[in-house]
Amino acid sequence: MADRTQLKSRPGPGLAGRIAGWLSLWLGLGAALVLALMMYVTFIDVIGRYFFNRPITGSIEIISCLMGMMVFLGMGLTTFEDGHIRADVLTQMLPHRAQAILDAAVHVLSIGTAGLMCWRLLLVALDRTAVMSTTQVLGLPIWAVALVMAVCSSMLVVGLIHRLGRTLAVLTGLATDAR
Amino acid sequence: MSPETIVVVITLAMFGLLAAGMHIGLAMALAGFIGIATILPIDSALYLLGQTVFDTALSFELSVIPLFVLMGAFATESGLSGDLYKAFNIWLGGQRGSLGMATVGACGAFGAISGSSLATAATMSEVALPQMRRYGYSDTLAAGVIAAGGTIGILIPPSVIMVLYAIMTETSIIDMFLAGIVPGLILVLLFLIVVLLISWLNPGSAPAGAASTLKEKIGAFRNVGGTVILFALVLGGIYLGVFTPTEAAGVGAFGVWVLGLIMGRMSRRRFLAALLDTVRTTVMIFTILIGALVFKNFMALAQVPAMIETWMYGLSLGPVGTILVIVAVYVLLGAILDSMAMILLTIPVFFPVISSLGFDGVWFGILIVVVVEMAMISPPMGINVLVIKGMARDLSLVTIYRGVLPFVAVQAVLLLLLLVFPEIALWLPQSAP
Repeated sequence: MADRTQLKSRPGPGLAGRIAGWLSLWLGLGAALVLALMMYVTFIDVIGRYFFNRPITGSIEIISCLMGMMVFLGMGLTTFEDGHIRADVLTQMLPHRAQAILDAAVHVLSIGTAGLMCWRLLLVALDRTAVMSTTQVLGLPIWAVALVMAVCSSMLVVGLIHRLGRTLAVLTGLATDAR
Repeated sequence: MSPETIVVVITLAMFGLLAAGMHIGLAMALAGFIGIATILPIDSALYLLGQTVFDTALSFELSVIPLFVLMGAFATESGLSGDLYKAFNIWLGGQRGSLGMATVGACGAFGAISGSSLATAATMSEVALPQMRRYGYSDTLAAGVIAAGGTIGILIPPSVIMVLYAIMTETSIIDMFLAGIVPGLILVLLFLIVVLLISWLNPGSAPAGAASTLKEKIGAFRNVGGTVILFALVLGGIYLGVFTPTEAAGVGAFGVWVLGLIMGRMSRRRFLAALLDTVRTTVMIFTILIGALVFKNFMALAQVPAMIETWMYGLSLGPVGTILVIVAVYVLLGAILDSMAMILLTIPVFFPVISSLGFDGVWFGILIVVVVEMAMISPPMGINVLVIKGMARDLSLVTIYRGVLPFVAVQAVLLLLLLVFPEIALWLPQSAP
């Protein structure tokens, strides 16, 4: 079985591809760490509450912030490995070349959509940063969490561009397999 | 263009994008955003988009998803599915069809610590398929029982699909979980009957496994005892109201991890692999969820539920007729769409109709989960079937689909039972303290 602690997809040729792959994996490892933290916080909170009558104050805020960071830290990993779900029953019936052309077109649209979402997320983050917004109980810096989310969300666009590059490589005959 | 035309055009365009192979979450987000922009000023539409992305990722309520996925990932990494399968095998002893029945039992039990039916199908085909083949089971039955058994995982809590349904409809996650237990057990029972019947009708397809002594039967508890206790703790805690779903998920994940450590099966590498796999899955789920929420906003702003309601009233189908039409739509959609996308896409449209007809939201949720289960093993998009095909490449798709048929039939029986006796699902949540 493949080593699931590594990238499932080949980074592809070129320095840019390799850097993007490397970044995806390391941000993904960051997400894994944040996830482990989420588990520990929840567990300690429950044990504290029911056995020692001392829950973690503001655990809900901690977990929310960790959630937001985890989802976007991991964004590059899933995108880079082509792990997002698609309905490809119909396209699979097309000839290879037609598939690749359609795939490229769809990726351009996806990049546009993802770019729009990232840009708006960045604006939300900048708004929060301008007022230095924090959580109510613990005063955690939501603005910083939002910035991390916004910056990492760009990995969705980067990952999609990488996938587009792989598809184009297939189209131009540079590669035989979009993996 | 009239509002109705806009809705139809945008929805059709979205299906076009889906069919062209666009990422499901992004296609829904794009369609939803354009739709909203036809109703609200562009500034507001853009603002709403950013806010939806931000709020969804930062939601405390949703943290239950990664934690339950993690619990399942730890269980997979520490090979608990193998233990469960072995234990059921020993308990069922030399009974004819025992390996097949053990698969059903182990799928049910593993489904109780894993929220995904894909994970269940994948791990069980690794564990049970070689065994059944070694004992001379027919490929049809062996593959069929694993594909079908895998679907039990989303009906028996914890279940990621149920969490998504609950969040989209603002139904209680706890009620959904509790409502799934009895139908889940009934399904296990029905599947067992199918295996038993097949082994009687066609003894060659399901030979008896090795017999076991009473001492072995008792000994088999040892390896699965921890899993059973953990499951009882998680579900019992939810039932008694001791844990919120997130707490249950956190405790469950932590518990399975510790269990793996105690059994000496949780190396650092496996720990990391489980975490990374969970990150992969969570990101995938959230991308779809964000898209679905954008699309849901559009549907609500365009008052689509009201449109559909008027239209359905116009057809004068009556409540039961409406439910049947909706079920039929799901069967059709299930042929092309992934189950999660299917639920996220349709719930904003159908749920308001269902509630206005006076149906119980929890009951409808369970009904939909059963329909999704059927879609997961029906051609052409039977995702569980494809997973098994991926793991045992020498099996043909036709063989697996043929093996799955009798199980789809009893799933339909469960669906009918739920339609006629809603109490099957609703009794447990209503009796909770």
